[in-house]
Amino acid sequence: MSGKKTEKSYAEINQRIKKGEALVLTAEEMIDFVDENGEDKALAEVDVVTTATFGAMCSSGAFLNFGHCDPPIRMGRVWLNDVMAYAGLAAVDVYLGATEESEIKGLEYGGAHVIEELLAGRKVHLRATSKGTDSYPRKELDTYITLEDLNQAYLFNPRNCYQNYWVAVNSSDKMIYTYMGPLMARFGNASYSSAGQLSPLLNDPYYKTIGIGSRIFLGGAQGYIAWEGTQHNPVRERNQKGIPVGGAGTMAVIGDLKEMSTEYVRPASIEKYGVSMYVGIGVPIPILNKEMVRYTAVRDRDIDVTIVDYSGGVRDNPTLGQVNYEQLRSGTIVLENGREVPTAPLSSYNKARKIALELKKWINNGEFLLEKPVENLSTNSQFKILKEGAVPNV
Amino acid sequence: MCKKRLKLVFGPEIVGKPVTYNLIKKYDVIINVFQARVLPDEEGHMVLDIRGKNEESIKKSIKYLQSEGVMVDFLEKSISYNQDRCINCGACTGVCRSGALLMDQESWELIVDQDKCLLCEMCLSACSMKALSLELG
Repeated sequence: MSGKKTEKSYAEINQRIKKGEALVLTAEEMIDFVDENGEDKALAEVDVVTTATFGAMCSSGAFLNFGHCDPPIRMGRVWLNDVMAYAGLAAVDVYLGATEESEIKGLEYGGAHVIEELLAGRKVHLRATSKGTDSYPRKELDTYITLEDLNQAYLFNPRNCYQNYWVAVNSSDKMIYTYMGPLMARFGNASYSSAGQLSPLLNDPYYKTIGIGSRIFLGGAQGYIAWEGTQHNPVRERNQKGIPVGGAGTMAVIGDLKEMSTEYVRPASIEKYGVSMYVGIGVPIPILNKEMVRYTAVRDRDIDVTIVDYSGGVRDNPTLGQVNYEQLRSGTIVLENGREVPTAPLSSYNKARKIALELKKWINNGEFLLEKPVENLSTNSQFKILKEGAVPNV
Repeated sequence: MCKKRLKLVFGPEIVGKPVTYNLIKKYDVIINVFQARVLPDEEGHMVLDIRGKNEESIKKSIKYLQSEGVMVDFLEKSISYNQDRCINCGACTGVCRSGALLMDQESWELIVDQDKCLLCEMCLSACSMKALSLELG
């Protein structure tokens, strides 16, 4: 090809997708492609790289609208299968948080489990109470609903898809139970939670193409990035490749629950910790220029991550050096203190791979087009801690 | 040949007795110890496979152990694996010391080898999907 192009546009890529001519690779396939063909050829030939993750994402939940009963009720307190949903909204709107626990069963069953039951088409027990008003006289409601019965049901997850995370270990002499799973005493095991080279924000570390309005794979359906995620921390220390060495960027995502599947949205009960929800997210990255070729060719050994000792129960846990994902995936790491520690992932690489392949299929079939972000995620917002005891200025 | 997996609990008062020696000598059984923690003046625990010529020889062996005051628990329990619930995350593999739970490094699917399982039950608390559970025989 003469007159080498150095930039491609979203419009060109979408045109190729519509014509069925686009070359779409998963982030794993992209590594091999660049190795074999070089960056120039990758830019010329590859249109989209699909990235994905399937991990525990506590900061998740669903907005539900039940429709009005007769006589109507302005729901004050609401329970779904004995899990409380937040009803401080309009009369029959609630937000069901994934981690809210059942008032009867505790952490065996929570908001995420209710979401799974809805997705599976099962009946869910709805109870509501109210103070009663002139226009909404009813004070109590006790009935059963299904996902189909609802007007709207959409996931709106305030913080998903962490860009990297930590490796968790326990230096103390007793076992501790954390959101990173059980951590055995005296560095008995290490757990980590990122899809590494397949993970969306690690393939676009400065959020050049991933932003508000990006169309994504969410829980088996098409969804969108709605906002930057809570605790989005783009200024986290980065390695030479520009990869943050701990939890950094995050995204808030939205999508229609009615189109999702239990295959990609799963409840979790984390021993002696609580309920969480595994969410499958896939993000397509357009190969607009050489920079995106380089970012999407990132591999596990380029991604460093900080080891954190979770035994103290404090905000700023002590750290114990760094390892990379290739080392983590080998099953054993060696700590700075010389200890050899078995490693295990919390997020499913197998599922992440399936999602990346599924998204690739959607794009190849012309069912999924890329959306240019309306606005990019911040690259400089500050990450704040909660300061206690400050006296308000009157 | 007949084989049984047993969990033995020794009270502090019998820890000093050569129980396993007698067992092998008197009953001609083959012992394979998977796990043992036996210390003076403490309750001792042992997980072992016992193999004898026939069921009768194993029965006699167990009777002998019980007569010495050893608590015998038949590990006819097993860890049951529900593939539909499993998401192949691998969280269980980090706490499994016996090699019964491993990740395939190519497919990143969980490989379950029941024969290696020592029934420590650690994986039950590591699995947040309830894909692993204890099955009683």
